[in-house]
Amino acid sequence: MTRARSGGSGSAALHVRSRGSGSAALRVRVTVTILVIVWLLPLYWMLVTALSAPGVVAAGRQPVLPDAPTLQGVRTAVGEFPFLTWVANSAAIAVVAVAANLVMSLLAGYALAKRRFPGRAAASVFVLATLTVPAEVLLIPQFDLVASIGWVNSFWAVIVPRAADAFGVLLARQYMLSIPDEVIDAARVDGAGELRILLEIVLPLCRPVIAVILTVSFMYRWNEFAWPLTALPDPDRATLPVGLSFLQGQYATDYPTLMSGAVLSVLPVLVLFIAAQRAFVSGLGAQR
Amino acid sequence: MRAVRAHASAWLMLAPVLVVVVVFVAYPLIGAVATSLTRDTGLGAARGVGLANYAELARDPVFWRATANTIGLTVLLVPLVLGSGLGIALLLRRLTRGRAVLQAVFLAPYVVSGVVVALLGRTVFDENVGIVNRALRGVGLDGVAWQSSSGAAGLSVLIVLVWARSGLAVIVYLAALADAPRTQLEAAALDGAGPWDRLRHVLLPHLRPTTVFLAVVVVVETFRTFDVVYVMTGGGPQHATELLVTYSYAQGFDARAQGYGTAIGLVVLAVVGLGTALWWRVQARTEDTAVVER
Amino acid sequence: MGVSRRVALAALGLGASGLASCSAPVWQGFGLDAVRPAADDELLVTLWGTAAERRAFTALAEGFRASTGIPVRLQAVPFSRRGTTVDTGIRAGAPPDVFRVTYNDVGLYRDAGVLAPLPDSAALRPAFGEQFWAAVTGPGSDTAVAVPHHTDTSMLLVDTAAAEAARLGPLPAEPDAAWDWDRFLDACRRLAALRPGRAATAVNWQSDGAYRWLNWVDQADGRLLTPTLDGAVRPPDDGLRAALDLTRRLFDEGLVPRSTSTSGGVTTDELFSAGTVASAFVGNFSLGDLEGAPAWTAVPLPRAAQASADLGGNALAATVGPRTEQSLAFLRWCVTPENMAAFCSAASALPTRVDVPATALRYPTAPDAMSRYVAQAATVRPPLVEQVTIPRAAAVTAELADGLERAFLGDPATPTADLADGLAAAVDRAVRR
Repeated sequence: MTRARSGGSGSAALHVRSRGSGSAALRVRVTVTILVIVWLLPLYWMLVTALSAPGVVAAGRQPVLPDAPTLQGVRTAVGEFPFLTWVANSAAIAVVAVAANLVMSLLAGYALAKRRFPGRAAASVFVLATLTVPAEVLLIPQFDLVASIGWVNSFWAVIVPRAADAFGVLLARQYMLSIPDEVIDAARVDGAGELRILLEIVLPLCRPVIAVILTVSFMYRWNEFAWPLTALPDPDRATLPVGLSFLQGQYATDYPTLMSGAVLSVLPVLVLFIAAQRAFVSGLGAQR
Repeated sequence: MRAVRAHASAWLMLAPVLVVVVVFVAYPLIGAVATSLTRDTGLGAARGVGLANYAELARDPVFWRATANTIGLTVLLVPLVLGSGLGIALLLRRLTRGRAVLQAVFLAPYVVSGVVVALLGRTVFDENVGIVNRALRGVGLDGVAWQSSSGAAGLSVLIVLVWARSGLAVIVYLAALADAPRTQLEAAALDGAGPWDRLRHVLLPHLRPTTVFLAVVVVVETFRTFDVVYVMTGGGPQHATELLVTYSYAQGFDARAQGYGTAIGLVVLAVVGLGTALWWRVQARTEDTAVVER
Repeated sequence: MGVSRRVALAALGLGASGLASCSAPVWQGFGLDAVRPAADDELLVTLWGTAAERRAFTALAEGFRASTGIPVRLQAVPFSRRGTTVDTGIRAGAPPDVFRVTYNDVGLYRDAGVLAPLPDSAALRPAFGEQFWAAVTGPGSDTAVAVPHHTDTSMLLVDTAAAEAARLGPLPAEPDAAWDWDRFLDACRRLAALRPGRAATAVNWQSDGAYRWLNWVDQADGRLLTPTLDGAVRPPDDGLRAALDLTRRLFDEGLVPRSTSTSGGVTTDELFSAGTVASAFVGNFSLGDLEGAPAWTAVPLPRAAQASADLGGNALAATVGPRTEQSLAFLRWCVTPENMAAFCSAASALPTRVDVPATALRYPTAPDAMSRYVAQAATVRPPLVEQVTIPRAAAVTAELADGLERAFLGDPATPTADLADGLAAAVDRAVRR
C-alpha cells in the first residue's frame, strides 16, 4: 500500500486537471506564483540580511535589493566563535547517528513487520509508545543519566539516546509490511537465515525507504536543538543549532551576523534535501 | 528448538532498539517521576517534598498560561497548517509542470532547523527594524509591537510556525490526492457538482485518514515546540508565548528548579501519551482495513 | 541457522557500535572524549564577554602561562548561557576550574559548596573596596570564595545634539549634580518630542539586568528586601512604589520603546547606536561597542533622596577540584594591581581595588566618560549591594523581571500599589523557597 503510493504521484494520476477555460488555469498559476513568492521571501530576506552591513540593518535602512553586499556578518559569525568546529561537530554527530539509526530501524522494522514471535504485539506497542515520548520532557533525567555515564560534552550523549528513533522504526515497519510474505516464506523454506533474508531479499526492495530514513534522520539530527543544548554545554562541542543560539546570545540584534550563521547552517541540509528530494517527498507522502 | 532459535533471533533484531529505549527513555522516565517529587537546584542535594511541586503547579499562573498557550497554539495551528497544506496541494495538483520544484519550495522551511526559523522570525518581525514593520510604516500604518505586545508576539510565532510546518501537509496531501477516486469525481462533475461540492463530498472523505494522520503529527509537533519559541521570543513578553516545554526548561535549568521543571515535563508527557494512545487505536484500525483491502 | 545467528550477532555489534566503542581510542581527538583527563594541568576558564573583554582575558591567560607555565583554556559562552554551562559542569562532576561570575550569582555557588575559599583572604582584603569584598565573602564570613575582578555601573548616555535641540541646558557631570526624577522625566519628554517615532531613552534592565531597577528604589530610599534579607518588605515601602510609578510612566508615556521591557531581547547600546532612542542607560563595558552612535555625553543616573548606582561587574571564582591550587593562583594573578589596571583599561571596566591609581587606567575608548563612570561607581551603596548578593539573588532577579514586565507592559489602569504588592509577594516567595 505505502509502496504503491510512493511512486504514484506522476502525471498519470492527475485526472481531474482543470478542464475549464484557460482563465482558470491562469488563476491557478498566478495564485501559485504569489504563494511561492510569499514562501520564499523570508529565505530571500535571510540571504539579503546576511550580506548587509550591521549598521545599516540596525538603523532600519536596509535596502530590499542589496546595493553594497558585504561579508562583514559572515566574518563575525565565523571569526568570533568556533563556527567551523560546530559544522564539524554537527557533521560527525549526524553521520554516526544516522548510520546507527538506519541499522537499528531496519533490524527492528523487519522484526516487527515480518517475524512472528511471542511478545511481538507487546514489543511493538512498547517500542513505539516509548519512542513517541517527546524528548523535550526528559531533558533533566536524561542529562542526569548521561552525566552519570560521563558523557556530558561527549558526542555519544547525543548519538546513542537518539539511535532508536520512532520515525525510522515506523517507516521501516510500515514499508516492510507491504513486502509480500510469500517472497520471504519461500526463502525460509529454502533454509535461508533471517539475517540473510533481510540483507539479500528485503533490503534490496527497501531502497526507497532507506533513502527516506537517511534523509529524515539526517534532518532530525542536523536540526536537533534542546538535547544538544543540554548535553553539550561546552561551546567547543556545540552543534550548529546550539552554536547559532550562542551567536544570538552574543549578538542579540546583529542580524547580519545571525543570518550569516543561519545561511551557512542551512546550506548542507538544503543541498542534501534537494539531492534526495524525490525520496524525501515520496517517503513523507507515504506516511499516512 | 528451531522455533525458539527463530524467536531468539527476532528478539536480537529488536534488541538494539529495546536497549536504547529502556536505558534512555524508560529509565529516565522513572527518574523523572522521582525528581518531580523533590526540590532540586541541580547543585546541592535534592530534598524530597512529596507532591508539593504538583500542588504548586496548580497555583502557578504561568503554568496555566503556558498550558493555555500550548492548547491554544495547537487548536490554531492544526487547522491552519492542514488548511494551507490542502489548499496548496489542490493548487499544485492542477499544474502539469514544475511540480517537483514547487514541492521543494514549500517543503524547504520544514527541513531547516527550528533555530534558523526562529532567528529568521526575529529578523523579519523585529519591531524596530524588521522588514514587516518597515513595510507597514511604508504604507502609512503603525508598526506592530511584535516583541512587546502579548497578542502580536503570539501572532508572530503562529505565522512563523504556519510558514515552517505547512510543507509536510502539502506533500502528504498531494500524495493522497494522487489516488483520489477518479470515477466518483467524474460522476460528481457530471451531476453538476461544483469544485466546492466535489471537495466536500468526495475529496475530503477520501482524505480523511490522511487528515487524521496529519492532525496527530501537528499536535505532537506543537506540543514539542521548543526551539522556535525559545530562540524567537524566549517565552515573552509576559509569558505570552510561553509553552509548557519552554516553561519546563526555564524552570528546570534557568531557574534551577529541577523538580518543578520535571513535573511540568511530566504533565506534557501525560497529555502527549493520551494523544498517542488515541492515534495508536486509529492507526491500528486503518491498518486492519488496509490489510483487508489488500 | 548457525551461520545466520553469527551474522546476526555481527550485525548487532554493528548496530550497537555506538554503545560498544564509546571509549575506543580511535575516537579521541575526534571530539568524542567526554571529559578531559584529570592529569591534564590545563585550566578551563568559563567566561562570557564583549570582544574587548574576551581579548583582555586572553591577555591575562597568556601572561599567566608565561609567568607560571600553566596553560589556560578560555571557554567563552554567551551571557545568557553562563549559568547552565557552569551548572551542568558541576552536575556532571567536571566543573570549569575557574569561572567568571556576577556578584549576584556568587551567593548561590557559595551556598552549594562548590567554590574554593581563598586561604589568604585576610591578606587580600585591605586592597579591595569594602562593598566588593562583602559581595564575595557573604554575611557572617571573613573568607572570600571569589575575587572581585572588576565592577561596572550604568550612566545615561545622551545624544548631545538631541540634548541641545531639546534645550536640556547644561548636562550634569557629577552624581551630586545629577538630575532629580522630575527633571529627568522632563528631559525625556523633551527628547521624545523632538522626533516622532524615536523614543527618549531605554533602560538597561534586560537580560538578567532587572536588578538594576533597584537603583531607582534605593535612590528613593526604599528597599526591596528586609534588613535581615530573609524576605521582601511587605507591604512595599514608599520608595519602591515611587520607583515603580516612575518607571511605569516611562512606558505609559511612550518615553521608552516597548521592546525594552525586562524580557526584551534588545540591548540599550544597540538601540542607541542605531539611533532608535535619543538617550540610553548603558554600562561602561559597552562603551567600546558604540559603533555608529551619534556624539554623546555621559550623564549621571537620576537621583531622588540620594544618588545610587547598580553594582555591576564580575568576580572570578575557582571550583574545588584537582587543580584548585593552580586555579587560585590564576585568581590572584588576575587581580594584581597591574593586571587589574590592564584588564580594566582594555575592557572598559572599573577596578575594584582601592590601590589602582587613576593614571594606570588608560581607557582607549571614551576616557573622559570613563572617569565619569568611576565617579558614578562611588555611588554604589552597601544597602543595595547586600540585597543583590543574597544566595537567592538570581531567583529574585527573575521574579523582578516578571513583576516589572507586568507593570510596564500590562494594563496602565492597574493601580501601582497592586502591582507593587504582587511584586513584593512574588519576591518574598522566591527568597523563602
